[in-house]
Amino acid sequence: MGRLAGKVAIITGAASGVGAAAARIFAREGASVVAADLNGDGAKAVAEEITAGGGKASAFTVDVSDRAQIDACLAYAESTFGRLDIVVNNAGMSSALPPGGEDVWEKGISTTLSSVYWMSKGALPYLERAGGGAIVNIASLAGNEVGTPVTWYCGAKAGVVGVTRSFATTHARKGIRTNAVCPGAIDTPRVRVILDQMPGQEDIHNARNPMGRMASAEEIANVALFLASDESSCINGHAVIADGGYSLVS
Amino acid sequence: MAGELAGRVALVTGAGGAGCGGAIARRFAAEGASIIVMESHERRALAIAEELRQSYGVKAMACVVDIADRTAVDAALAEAGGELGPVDILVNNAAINVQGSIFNYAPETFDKVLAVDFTACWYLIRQTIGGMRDRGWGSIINVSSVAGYIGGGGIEAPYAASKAALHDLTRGTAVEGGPHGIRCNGIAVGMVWSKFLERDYEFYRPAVEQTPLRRVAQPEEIAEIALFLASERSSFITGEIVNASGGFYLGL
Repeated sequence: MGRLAGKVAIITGAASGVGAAAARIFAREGASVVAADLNGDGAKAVAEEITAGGGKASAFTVDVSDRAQIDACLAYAESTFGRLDIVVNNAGMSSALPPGGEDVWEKGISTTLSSVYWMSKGALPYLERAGGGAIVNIASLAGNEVGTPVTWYCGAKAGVVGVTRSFATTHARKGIRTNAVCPGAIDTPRVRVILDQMPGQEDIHNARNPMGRMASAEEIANVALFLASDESSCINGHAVIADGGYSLVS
Repeated sequence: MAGELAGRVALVTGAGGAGCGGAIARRFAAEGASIIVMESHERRALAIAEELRQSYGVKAMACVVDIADRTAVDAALAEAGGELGPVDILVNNAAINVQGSIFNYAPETFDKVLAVDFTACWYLIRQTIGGMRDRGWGSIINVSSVAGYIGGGGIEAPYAASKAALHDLTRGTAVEGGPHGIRCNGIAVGMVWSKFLERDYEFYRPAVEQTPLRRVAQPEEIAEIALFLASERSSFITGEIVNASGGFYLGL
C-alpha cells in the first residue's frame, strides 16, 4: 500500500529534473500522475516510462503562463483519472535563461509566480470535490533565505512562499493543506546549464555546503512526497528548506 | 527485520507518556529501530519498553533518569550502549513547561525549565554525536514548539526562550555535523493532544480556533514527521525547523 494510494496528482515541469523524479516517485507510491510540461514529448516519455513499469500516468502539454492551458490541465486530470487530490507546482523558468533585460522580469514572474497562483486557485474546486487535498509549491532558497543577482527569480520565488502561506491560512478549513519546498542547488540538467556558465562554482558550493554536495532531484521529490502525503497532515503553510544546511553558512 | 530504520538505535527522551515521545518510540519501533526509552517516570518507562518489545519485536530498554542529571545520563548511555549499541538517532523530546509572568517568575523555576528544555538537549547531543561521527551517520531531532518563534504569547517566556535556543542549537549542530553525515533538524509543534490540553481545553480553545486547520495535532502526526526526519527520505534536509502547527500564528 503506497503513501499516495488512490490519489491523483498533477505535477508541472514533469519532463525532467525534480518534476520527473516526483512523477516517478508519486506513481511508485500509488498515485495516478498527470505529467504536465511545456515540453510535451519529454512529459510523454516520463509518463510512458511510468506506465511501462506498471504505474499510472498520463502526459499533458501545458504552458503554465497561459491561464486557459492551466484550466485545461486541471480538467484533464479529473476527466482522465476521476478526481484531483494533489498539485505540485514545480514548473518555472530557469534562473539562467534567458539572460538580462527588463522583459525577463515580466516573463519570469508570469511563468514562475503567477502560474503557481492560477494553478492553485484553479485547483481549489477540484480539491474540494475530492474532499480535501494538498498543494506543494517548489520554491527556492532564493525565495526566503538568500539573495542572488537574478532579481526576477528571487522576487518570483519569494512570491511563491507568500502565496503558499496565504493559501494555507485561507483554505485549510476545506481540508486543503498548502506547503512549499525551498531547495538549494540541485543536480539537474537545468542547474548544470547554470554551472557551466560559472566555472568553479560547483566546487565553491560543495566546499561551503555542510553536506559537501548538491541535492539530487529524488531527494527534493521525496520532500514533495512527504508534503503531499497524509504523513504531513498537521503541516500547513510551511516552506521546508532542503539545502543540506547551505543557507546557514552562506 | 525490514523497515526504514532497521539496524538503527534510537534514543527518545520523554518517551513514557501518551504524548509525542511515546508515539515516536512506537513509530520508530514499527520501522525496526531498537529503542532506548529515556524517561523520568519509572512505571511508564518500563511499560513502554515492554510494549515495544512485545508489539514490534524490537530491542527496547528503559533508562529511568532525569535528563538534567548529567551523571545519570552518562550512566544510562553507557548501559544502553552496551546493551543495544551506540545511538544513531537522537530524539530530544522531553520538556517541561511552567507558565508564569516575567514579573514574578521564580528564578529557580526558570533554571529548571532551561536545564530540561535546552541544556539537557545540548548535553545529549554532545554525548552521542561523537559516535555518530565515528560511524559517519546520524540523525538528531529536536522536538520544539512554535512558542520559540513568538516568545510564548505572554504566558510562557522561559519555555519559549529555551525552544528558541534549541532552534539555534539545531542549526549550529547541522553545520558542524553535516560534513560527518550527521543531520540535525527540529519539529516546531503547535498544540498537540495531551491529557493536560484536554483537561484545560477551554483555555486553549481560542488558539485552536486561530489555527488554519482548526484542530490540534495528534501525537501520531508528530511521530510521522520525526520518522521522515530520521529516515533517508529527508536526506538533504538539515538545520531545518519543520513547522508542525497546522499553520498556527500564520493566520491573522
